Amino acid sequence: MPMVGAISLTAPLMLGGLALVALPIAAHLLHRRAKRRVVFPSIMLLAASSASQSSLFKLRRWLLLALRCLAVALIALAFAQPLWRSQRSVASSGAEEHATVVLLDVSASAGQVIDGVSLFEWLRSAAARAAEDAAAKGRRVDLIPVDHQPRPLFPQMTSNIEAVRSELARLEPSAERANPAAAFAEAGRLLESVAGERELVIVSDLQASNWSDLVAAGGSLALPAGVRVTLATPPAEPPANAALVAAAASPGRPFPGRSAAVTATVANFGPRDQTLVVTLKLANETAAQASVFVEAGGRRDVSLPFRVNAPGHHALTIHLPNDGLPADNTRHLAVHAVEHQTVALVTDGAADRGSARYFTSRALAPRRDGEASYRVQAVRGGEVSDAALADTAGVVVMPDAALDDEAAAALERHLRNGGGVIVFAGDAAAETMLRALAARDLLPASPRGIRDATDGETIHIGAGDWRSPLLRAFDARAQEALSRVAFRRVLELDEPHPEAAALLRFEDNRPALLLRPIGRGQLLLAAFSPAADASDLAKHGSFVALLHNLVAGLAPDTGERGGIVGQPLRLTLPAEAVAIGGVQLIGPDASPLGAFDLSANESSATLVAPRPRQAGFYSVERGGQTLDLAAANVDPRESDLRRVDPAALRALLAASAEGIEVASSAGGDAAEPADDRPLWGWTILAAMGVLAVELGLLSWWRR
Amino acid sequence: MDAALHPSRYLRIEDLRRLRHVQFSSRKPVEGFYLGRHRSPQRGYSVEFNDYREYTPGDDVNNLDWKVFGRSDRLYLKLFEHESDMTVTLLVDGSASMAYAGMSATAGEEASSGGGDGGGSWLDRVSLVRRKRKPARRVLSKYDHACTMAAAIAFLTIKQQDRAAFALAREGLAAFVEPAGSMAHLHKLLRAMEQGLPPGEGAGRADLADAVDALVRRRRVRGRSVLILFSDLLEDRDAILKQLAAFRACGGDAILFHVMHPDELHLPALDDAVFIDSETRGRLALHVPDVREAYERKLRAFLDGWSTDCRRAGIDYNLVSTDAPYSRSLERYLLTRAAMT
Repeated sequence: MPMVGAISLTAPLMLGGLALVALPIAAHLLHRRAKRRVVFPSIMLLAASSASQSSLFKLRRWLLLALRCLAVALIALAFAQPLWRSQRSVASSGAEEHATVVLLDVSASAGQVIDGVSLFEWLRSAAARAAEDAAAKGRRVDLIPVDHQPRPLFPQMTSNIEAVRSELARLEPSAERANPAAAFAEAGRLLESVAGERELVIVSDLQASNWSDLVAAGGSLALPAGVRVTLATPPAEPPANAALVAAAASPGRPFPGRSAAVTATVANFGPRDQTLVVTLKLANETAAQASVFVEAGGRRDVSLPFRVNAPGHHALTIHLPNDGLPADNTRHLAVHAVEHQTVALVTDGAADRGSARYFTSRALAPRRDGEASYRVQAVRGGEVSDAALADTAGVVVMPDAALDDEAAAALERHLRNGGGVIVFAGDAAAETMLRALAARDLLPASPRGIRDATDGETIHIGAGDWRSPLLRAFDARAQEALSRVAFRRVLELDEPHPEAAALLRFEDNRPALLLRPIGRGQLLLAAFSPAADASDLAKHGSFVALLHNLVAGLAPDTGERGGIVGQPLRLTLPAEAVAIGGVQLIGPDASPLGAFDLSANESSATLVAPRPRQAGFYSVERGGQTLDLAAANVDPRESDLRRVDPAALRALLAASAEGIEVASSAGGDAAEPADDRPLWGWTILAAMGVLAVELGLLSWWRR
Repeated sequence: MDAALHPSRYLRIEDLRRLRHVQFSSRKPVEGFYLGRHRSPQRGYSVEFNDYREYTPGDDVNNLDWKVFGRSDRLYLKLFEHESDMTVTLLVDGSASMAYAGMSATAGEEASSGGGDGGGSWLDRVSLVRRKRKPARRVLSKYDHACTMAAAIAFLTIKQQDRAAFALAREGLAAFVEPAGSMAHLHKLLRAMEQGLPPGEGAGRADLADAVDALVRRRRVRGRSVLILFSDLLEDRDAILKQLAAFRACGGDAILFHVMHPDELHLPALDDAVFIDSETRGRLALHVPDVREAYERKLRAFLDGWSTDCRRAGIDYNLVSTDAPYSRSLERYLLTRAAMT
């Protein structure tokens, strides 16, 4: 910052306005030339009259010109914002260079609305004042917007406060989650090279979900020693907020013309219970609406039915009424509707009548005209591999499947990647298969052995978790029908694994159907078999319904197709599409995005958008055809607006490195340095005074 | 208008109607060639008794006063006043300064006042375009005003059977029309006036003293006649007055019309201007409000000087502003003069 003695200029570039002094000079010269010429009879008397006047007249004109130039110069100086530096400031701004780095929270939560005003406006104002104060003290400034990947706005710290102001004015809250640790690392890197005083100003909403990890870790931050840290605390309590934190379609790949449902999870982060209206829109038209009561601090799932009429990619949006944080009131969900899906049937037995394989195949694909929803693909136990399981809607393992360790490993990978596996184990032949799964710790409960019903007696389903998404479709009559199925041979199981849940139990309360989440997928273990010698299950229509519900419920892609804003977003497309080229990534605003990575293997290709910045739908297109559609949503952790304890954060900052001094600021009330006095007001006043004198003299002389 | 009714731009009969009862005469006896109505230093044949003188052989015995002879037994002749015609010489200043018609006189305005004979003041020739666009109000220059008054006086003079002459002063005596007393001669005078329009730039000074001197020395004017001078008098006052005094010493009667434009009497309403001398082309940049007061002071002294000196020299001095109707100025002067005669 340029200094003239004890006066420093906040915006020295505005001194360029001194060039405007040329205006009165030019006007003076032009006026001289533009005088009216009058051919007069004789100037004899005029000359005699002006003899005594001319010198005074010239003096007056020069005096007026000087006053006008002075007024313009003072106005230009006022725009440069001169500051009278105190002795302390002058001394502190000696030879060494001082710097201030401002961390400005631009995460999605910064857009929270308090009393009708966005908190970000307050944050922006606080950051601007911090930067201006620093510039007024002669410090260089840099600004780091704290989002998922914080980067300084200026590669080198700058003294150009106007540029900082301009960048600040352009900033808006992102849809990303803040990454304070990365921001501290960037700030530390910037401040490390500063020899003089180093200052870090943190302007944030102090959202607990962002900062608590940092506080909980308690490690040292990447800050150099001797940094003065100022923490600007927000002025008011965060608003009540409810959010859509998850949404999933069931089935994950709906069939055209058949009903499907979106299960949306609504979280209430506010202090009061709320009844919220949730709206599902398909192609921007309302498909369903439901009201849900969510207690304070609680979560509720709400099911919203929908139906797609054509195969292909479909965009679903779920909406909540506007509240404290608008960003999380919309959830985007991309679904891919298909006419047919393939189910892998892992079996080593023959498809004889009465076998489990026979009945299961018939139940999955009852129609022989190829129009059935599921197509059954038989896979031998020894042939189970990643390729064999790829792109299947579900995997059903028959009791006679001779699984080896490699096959079990492939199943485990399939599960962990979000796949669903149903294992029918109610037969003596299932021992090999169970052993292989147990070796991988995939079973939801330990098998005890096969139990045959005593003569004349049969085993029946006694209870079920009918509220489970997998069994939700079973009404009372269907439950009754299922309970009439007679089982003659079942697998006895121990009590389920802690992560597992029993969806069905036999009358003796032993588990009949167990569900265990593994990775992103789920494994269902049925302690019975559809084979004719093991049960009457295949004779009942409820077997078809049960099997279809289980396959649909366990199908991959039951989660959202997409990811989180700010984090890499993966989309898949056919390998040949990459070979042909012309692939475009289209963002939520319907404009093509240039930055993406494309990789391909033999069967498919993957497109990765490294940093989607907006919430919404991203599609891969080629020649107007949508190859894949994915949604990017706001990180659900941004919805919880509760704040971290500033004292804990201060303690963490103080402990992160030696010599760190932590202070708090009201942020919005940040004021100019107490001992430096701004002069621009006086400069404007002086300019007005000079103009007043000029006008006074002018009117006096013309009187 | 009919050319017969308006023989010249400088003579408008309708303006002179109010002067038809006014007679222009000299305040001093004049010498003429013909019998007239003006007193003459010569004795002649009239009904007005003048004096007696003793009879000498050869005198006309018809003029002997027999009543005196009866009382005194001495022969005296009765002498009667001789009434002669009057010669009025109109000397008009044709210098560049007399072309001034004011700041507001646009070319178009000037054009309307210019005749169709190619004459006109120095502003007449600036633009023909404006002349066609706008029939503007007639704006008179000082020369125009002076000539209009001179034409009126010539008309009155000739109408009362006297003789009028015209002289133009530009760098001395530039033109002279011999005196005569006919209406045809009046036309001649008017043409001479129109031809004498100062051309503006380059017209130079009038050199009035030389012009008067030339008139007297070349006997263009007789000693006992009337010389009327129309000028803005922006020249050496002493030299002019000296020549006029010499003329008066010869028995002539001098009248001076000081023609000024209102812009000269009250500086134009300007802030800053460059004043260019119409005769010397000298320039002077002024902030007018600053000098207005001093100028008016100097002007007052200038006018007072002329008035006082003329009064001392026995010369009628009349200040005429071009914004006043000439006929009214002339009427006022003539009535005043008649009262004093």
